[in-house]
Amino acid sequence: MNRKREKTEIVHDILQVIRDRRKVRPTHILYKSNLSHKMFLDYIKELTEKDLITETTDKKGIRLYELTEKGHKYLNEYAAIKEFMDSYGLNQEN
Amino acid sequence: MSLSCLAPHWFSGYDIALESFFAIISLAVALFAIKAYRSTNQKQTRLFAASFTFIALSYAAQALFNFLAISEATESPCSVIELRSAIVLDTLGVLTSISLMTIGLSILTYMTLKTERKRTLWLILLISFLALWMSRNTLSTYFIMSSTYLAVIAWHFIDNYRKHKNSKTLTVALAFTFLLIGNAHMIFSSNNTTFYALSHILHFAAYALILWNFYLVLKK
Repeated sequence: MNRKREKTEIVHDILQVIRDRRKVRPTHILYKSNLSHKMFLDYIKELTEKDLITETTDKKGIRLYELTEKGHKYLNEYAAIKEFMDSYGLNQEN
Repeated sequence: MSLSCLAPHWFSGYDIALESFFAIISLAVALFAIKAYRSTNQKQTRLFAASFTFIALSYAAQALFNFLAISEATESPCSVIELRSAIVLDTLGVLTSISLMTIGLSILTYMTLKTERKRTLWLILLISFLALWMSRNTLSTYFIMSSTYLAVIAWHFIDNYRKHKNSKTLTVALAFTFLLIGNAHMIFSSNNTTFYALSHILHFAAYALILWNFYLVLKK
Protein backbone atom coordinates (compact mmCIF):
# COMPACT_ATOMS: atom_id res chain seq x y z
CA MET A 1 0.00 0.00 0.00
CA ASN A 2 1.36 3.47 -0.89
CA ARG A 3 1.99 5.75 2.07
CA LYS A 4 0.23 9.10 2.24
CA ARG A 5 2.35 11.89 0.78
CA GLU A 6 3.21 14.76 3.03
CA LYS A 7 2.30 18.31 2.09
CA THR A 8 5.85 19.38 1.27
CA GLU A 9 6.24 16.32 -0.96
CA ILE A 10 3.07 17.20 -2.91
CA VAL A 11 4.29 20.79 -3.32
CA HIS A 12 7.65 19.47 -4.50
CA ASP A 13 5.98 17.07 -6.98
CA ILE A 14 3.83 19.85 -8.49
CA LEU A 15 6.78 22.24 -8.80
CA GLN A 16 8.93 19.47 -10.29
CA VAL A 17 6.31 18.76 -12.98
CA ILE A 18 6.14 22.45 -13.87
CA ARG A 19 9.94 22.82 -13.94
CA ASP A 20 10.38 19.77 -16.18
CA ARG A 21 8.19 21.30 -18.90
CA ARG A 22 8.73 25.01 -18.20
CA LYS A 23 5.13 25.93 -19.12
CA VAL A 24 2.43 23.41 -18.28
CA ARG A 25 -1.30 23.08 -18.71
CA PRO A 26 -3.32 22.45 -15.54
CA THR A 27 -4.55 19.08 -16.86
CA HIS A 28 -0.99 17.84 -17.18
CA ILE A 29 -0.14 18.90 -13.63
CA LEU A 30 -3.33 17.24 -12.37
CA TYR A 31 -2.45 14.01 -14.19
CA LYS A 32 1.17 13.95 -13.00
CA SER A 33 0.57 15.07 -9.42
CA ASN A 34 -2.01 12.35 -8.75
CA LEU A 35 -4.37 14.57 -6.76
CA SER A 36 -8.14 14.99 -6.64
CA HIS A 37 -9.46 17.98 -8.60
CA LYS A 38 -10.41 19.80 -5.38
CA MET A 39 -7.00 19.27 -3.78
CA PHE A 40 -5.27 20.23 -7.00
CA LEU A 41 -7.12 23.58 -7.10
CA ASP A 42 -6.28 24.24 -3.45
CA TYR A 43 -2.58 23.58 -4.02
CA ILE A 44 -2.45 25.69 -7.20
CA LYS A 45 -4.14 28.57 -5.37
CA GLU A 46 -1.71 28.31 -2.46
CA LEU A 47 1.37 28.08 -4.68
CA THR A 48 0.21 31.08 -6.72
CA GLU A 49 -0.44 33.10 -3.56
CA LYS A 50 3.02 32.23 -2.27
CA ASP A 51 4.49 33.38 -5.57
CA LEU A 52 6.05 29.99 -6.29
CA ILE A 53 4.21 29.62 -9.61
CA THR A 54 2.56 32.08 -11.95
CA GLU A 55 -0.39 31.72 -14.29
CA THR A 56 -0.16 32.82 -17.93
CA THR A 57 -2.19 32.15 -21.08
CA ASP A 58 -0.97 31.07 -24.51
CA LYS A 59 -2.11 32.51 -27.86
CA LYS A 60 -5.20 30.27 -27.82
CA GLY A 61 -6.14 31.53 -24.39
CA ILE A 62 -5.29 28.26 -22.64
CA ARG A 63 -4.08 28.58 -19.04
CA LEU A 64 -0.46 27.68 -18.41
CA TYR A 65 1.62 27.56 -15.25
CA GLU A 66 5.32 28.28 -14.91
CA LEU A 67 7.75 28.51 -12.05
CA THR A 68 8.71 31.88 -10.65
CA GLU A 69 12.26 32.63 -9.53
CA LYS A 70 11.11 31.91 -5.98
CA GLY A 71 9.76 28.55 -7.16
CA HIS A 72 13.10 27.62 -8.73
CA LYS A 73 14.90 28.63 -5.54
CA TYR A 74 12.44 26.61 -3.43
CA LEU A 75 13.06 23.47 -5.48
CA ASN A 76 16.80 23.85 -5.07
CA GLU A 77 16.49 24.29 -1.31
CA TYR A 78 13.76 21.66 -0.97
CA ALA A 79 16.09 18.74 -0.22
CA ALA A 80 17.72 20.48 2.74
CA ILE A 81 14.41 21.82 4.07
CA LYS A 82 12.79 18.38 3.82
CA GLU A 83 15.70 16.70 5.60
CA PHE A 84 15.58 19.33 8.34
CA MET A 85 11.82 18.99 8.84
CA ASP A 86 11.94 15.19 8.76
CA SER A 87 14.72 15.06 11.33
CA TYR A 88 12.58 17.07 13.79
CA GLY A 89 9.28 15.38 12.83
CA LEU A 90 7.83 18.67 11.60
CA ASN A 91 6.08 17.09 8.61
CA GLN A 92 3.66 14.99 10.59
CA GLU A 93 0.01 15.94 10.24
CA ASN A 94 -2.30 16.15 13.25
CA MET B 1 19.50 31.44 43.53
CA SER B 2 22.54 32.30 41.51
CA LEU B 3 23.71 30.04 38.68
CA SER B 4 27.23 31.31 38.05
CA CYS B 5 27.95 30.95 41.79
CA LEU B 6 27.37 27.23 41.28
CA ALA B 7 30.26 27.03 38.83
CA PRO B 8 33.33 25.31 40.28
CA HIS B 9 36.45 27.45 40.20
CA TRP B 10 38.12 25.34 37.47
CA PHE B 11 35.02 25.70 35.30
CA SER B 12 34.75 29.48 35.53
CA GLY B 13 34.77 31.02 32.06
CA TYR B 14 34.15 27.70 30.30
CA ASP B 15 30.47 27.92 31.21
CA ILE B 16 30.21 31.31 29.46
CA ALA B 17 31.95 29.94 26.36
CA LEU B 18 29.64 26.91 26.31
CA GLU B 19 26.50 29.03 26.80
CA SER B 20 27.60 31.23 23.88
CA PHE B 21 28.08 28.07 21.78
CA PHE B 22 24.57 26.85 22.70
CA ALA B 23 23.14 30.28 21.78
CA ILE B 24 24.80 30.27 18.35
CA ILE B 25 23.65 26.71 17.51
CA SER B 26 20.08 27.42 18.70
CA LEU B 27 20.00 30.63 16.66
CA ALA B 28 21.25 28.82 13.55
CA VAL B 29 18.50 26.18 13.97
CA ALA B 30 15.90 28.93 14.50
CA LEU B 31 16.99 30.82 11.37
CA PHE B 32 16.86 27.66 9.25
CA ALA B 33 13.43 26.85 10.69
CA ILE B 34 12.25 30.36 9.70
CA LYS B 35 13.51 29.66 6.19
CA ALA B 36 11.65 26.33 6.17
CA TYR B 37 8.51 28.06 7.44
CA ARG B 38 8.67 30.66 4.66
CA SER B 39 8.74 27.82 2.14
CA THR B 40 6.14 25.53 3.67
CA ASN B 41 3.94 27.86 5.73
CA GLN B 42 3.50 25.02 8.24
CA LYS B 43 2.35 25.94 11.71
CA GLN B 44 4.61 23.38 13.39
CA THR B 45 7.68 24.84 11.71
CA ARG B 46 6.70 28.36 12.82
CA LEU B 47 6.36 27.17 16.42
CA PHE B 48 9.66 25.34 16.19
CA ALA B 49 11.39 28.49 14.90
CA ALA B 50 9.84 30.61 17.67
CA SER B 51 10.84 28.15 20.39
CA PHE B 52 14.47 27.96 19.25
CA THR B 53 14.64 31.76 19.02
CA PHE B 54 13.64 32.01 22.70
CA ILE B 55 16.05 29.21 23.64
CA ALA B 56 18.90 31.03 21.82
CA LEU B 57 18.01 34.29 23.60
CA SER B 58 17.97 32.46 26.93
CA TYR B 59 21.50 31.09 26.45
CA ALA B 60 22.72 34.48 25.19
CA ALA B 61 21.27 36.20 28.27
CA GLN B 62 22.80 33.55 30.56
CA ALA B 63 26.24 34.00 28.96
CA LEU B 64 26.05 37.80 29.01
CA PHE B 65 24.92 38.14 32.62
CA ASN B 66 27.39 35.47 33.81
CA PHE B 67 30.17 37.40 32.07
CA LEU B 68 29.06 40.71 33.60
CA ALA B 69 28.71 39.18 37.07
CA ILE B 70 32.17 37.59 36.95
CA SER B 71 33.68 40.87 35.66
CA GLU B 72 32.06 42.84 38.50
CA ALA B 73 33.21 40.36 41.15
CA THR B 74 36.79 40.11 39.92
CA GLU B 75 37.35 43.85 39.37
CA SER B 76 37.15 44.65 43.08
CA PRO B 77 36.76 41.41 45.00
CA CYS B 78 37.01 43.16 48.37
CA SER B 79 34.39 45.81 47.67
CA VAL B 80 30.97 45.01 49.15
CA ILE B 81 29.25 47.31 46.64
CA GLU B 82 30.91 45.57 43.68
CA LEU B 83 30.02 42.14 45.07
CA ARG B 84 26.44 43.23 45.70
CA SER B 85 26.15 44.53 42.16
CA ALA B 86 27.60 41.22 40.89
CA ILE B 87 24.91 39.31 42.81
CA VAL B 88 22.18 41.62 41.45
CA LEU B 89 23.48 41.08 37.91
CA ASP B 90 23.64 37.34 38.45
CA THR B 91 20.10 37.14 39.82
CA LEU B 92 18.81 39.31 36.97
CA GLY B 93 20.58 37.04 34.52
CA VAL B 94 19.08 33.89 36.02
CA LEU B 95 15.56 35.36 35.98
CA THR B 96 15.89 36.57 32.37
CA SER B 97 17.41 33.29 31.26
CA ILE B 98 14.87 30.97 32.92
CA SER B 99 11.96 33.16 31.73
CA LEU B 100 13.13 32.98 28.11
CA MET B 101 13.89 29.25 28.36
CA THR B 102 10.45 28.61 29.90
CA ILE B 103 8.78 30.38 26.95
CA GLY B 104 10.93 28.42 24.46
CA LEU B 105 10.26 25.03 26.06
CA SER B 106 6.55 25.81 26.50
CA ILE B 107 6.23 26.56 22.78
CA LEU B 108 8.19 23.42 21.86
CA THR B 109 5.99 21.31 24.17
CA TYR B 110 2.86 22.87 22.63
CA MET B 111 4.25 22.02 19.17
CA THR B 112 4.65 18.35 20.11
CA LEU B 113 1.01 18.22 21.28
CA LYS B 114 -0.07 19.00 17.68
CA THR B 115 -3.20 20.78 18.75
CA GLU B 116 -4.89 23.61 16.90
CA ARG B 117 -6.09 25.26 20.12
CA LYS B 118 -4.01 28.35 20.89
CA ARG B 119 -5.49 28.42 24.37
CA THR B 120 -3.42 25.33 25.22
CA LEU B 121 -0.23 27.33 24.68
CA TRP B 122 -1.47 30.25 26.78
CA LEU B 123 -2.47 27.80 29.52
CA ILE B 124 0.99 26.17 29.53
CA LEU B 125 2.66 29.60 29.68
CA LEU B 126 0.32 30.88 32.41
CA ILE B 127 0.79 27.82 34.62
CA SER B 128 4.56 27.87 34.07
CA PHE B 129 4.99 31.52 35.08
CA LEU B 130 2.56 31.23 37.99
CA ALA B 131 4.55 28.27 39.28
CA LEU B 132 7.83 30.19 38.97
CA TRP B 133 6.40 33.33 40.53
CA MET B 134 4.73 31.62 43.50
CA SER B 135 7.54 29.20 44.25
CA ARG B 136 9.79 29.64 47.29
CA ASN B 137 12.66 28.10 45.40
CA THR B 138 12.37 29.40 41.84
CA LEU B 139 15.41 27.53 40.57
CA SER B 140 14.24 24.10 41.78
CA THR B 141 10.75 24.73 40.41
CA TYR B 142 12.29 25.75 37.10
CA PHE B 143 14.37 22.55 36.88
CA ILE B 144 11.35 20.35 37.70
CA MET B 145 9.15 22.17 35.17
CA SER B 146 11.71 22.34 32.37
CA SER B 147 12.62 18.67 32.88
CA THR B 148 8.95 17.73 32.54
CA TYR B 149 8.69 19.72 29.30
CA LEU B 150 11.96 18.22 28.03
CA ALA B 151 10.66 14.72 28.80
CA VAL B 152 7.58 15.39 26.61
CA ILE B 153 9.76 16.94 23.88
CA ALA B 154 12.36 14.12 24.01
CA TRP B 155 9.55 11.56 23.74
CA HIS B 156 8.28 13.33 20.61
CA PHE B 157 11.71 13.03 18.97
CA ILE B 158 12.20 9.40 20.14
CA ASP B 159 8.78 8.59 18.67
CA ASN B 160 9.82 10.35 15.45
CA TYR B 161 12.92 8.12 15.35
CA ARG B 162 10.78 4.99 15.88
CA LYS B 163 8.61 6.01 12.91
CA HIS B 164 11.47 7.14 10.65
CA LYS B 165 14.61 5.23 11.55
CA ASN B 166 17.62 7.03 10.14
CA SER B 167 20.79 8.70 11.41
CA LYS B 168 19.28 12.22 11.52
CA THR B 169 16.19 11.36 13.57
CA LEU B 170 18.43 9.31 15.89
CA THR B 171 20.82 12.26 16.31
CA VAL B 172 17.95 14.59 17.26
CA ALA B 173 16.40 12.02 19.63
CA LEU B 174 19.77 11.52 21.36
CA ALA B 175 20.37 15.28 21.57
CA PHE B 176 17.10 15.91 23.39
CA THR B 177 17.67 12.89 25.64
CA PHE B 178 21.02 14.43 26.66
CA LEU B 179 19.29 17.78 27.27
CA LEU B 180 16.71 16.02 29.45
CA ILE B 181 19.36 14.20 31.51
CA GLY B 182 21.49 17.37 31.78
CA ASN B 183 18.49 19.28 33.08
CA ALA B 184 16.80 16.60 35.21
CA HIS B 185 19.73 15.80 37.46
CA MET B 186 19.87 19.48 38.48
CA ILE B 187 16.54 18.93 40.32
CA PHE B 188 18.38 16.84 42.89
CA SER B 189 21.66 18.72 42.87
CA SER B 190 20.98 22.40 42.21
CA ASN B 191 23.56 23.37 44.86
CA ASN B 192 26.32 21.08 43.67
CA THR B 193 29.14 22.75 41.73
CA THR B 194 30.30 19.55 40.01
CA PHE B 195 26.80 18.81 38.77
CA TYR B 196 26.61 22.35 37.36
CA ALA B 197 29.68 21.55 35.23
CA LEU B 198 28.32 18.10 34.34
CA SER B 199 25.05 19.69 33.22
CA HIS B 200 26.97 22.00 30.87
CA ILE B 201 28.98 19.05 29.49
CA LEU B 202 25.77 17.07 28.80
CA HIS B 203 24.27 20.15 27.13
CA PHE B 204 27.44 20.42 25.06
CA ALA B 205 27.01 16.80 23.90
CA ALA B 206 23.39 17.61 22.98
CA TYR B 207 24.24 20.75 21.01
CA ALA B 208 27.18 19.02 19.28
CA LEU B 209 24.65 16.43 18.06
CA ILE B 210 22.24 19.18 16.93
CA LEU B 211 25.13 20.80 15.06
CA TRP B 212 26.06 17.44 13.49
CA ASN B 213 22.46 16.98 12.33
CA PHE B 214 22.52 20.51 10.91
CA TYR B 215 25.68 19.65 8.99
CA LEU B 216 24.07 16.46 7.60
CA VAL B 217 21.00 18.46 6.50
CA LEU B 218 23.00 21.20 4.76
CA LYS B 219 25.37 18.70 3.15
CA LYS B 220 22.45 17.22 1.16
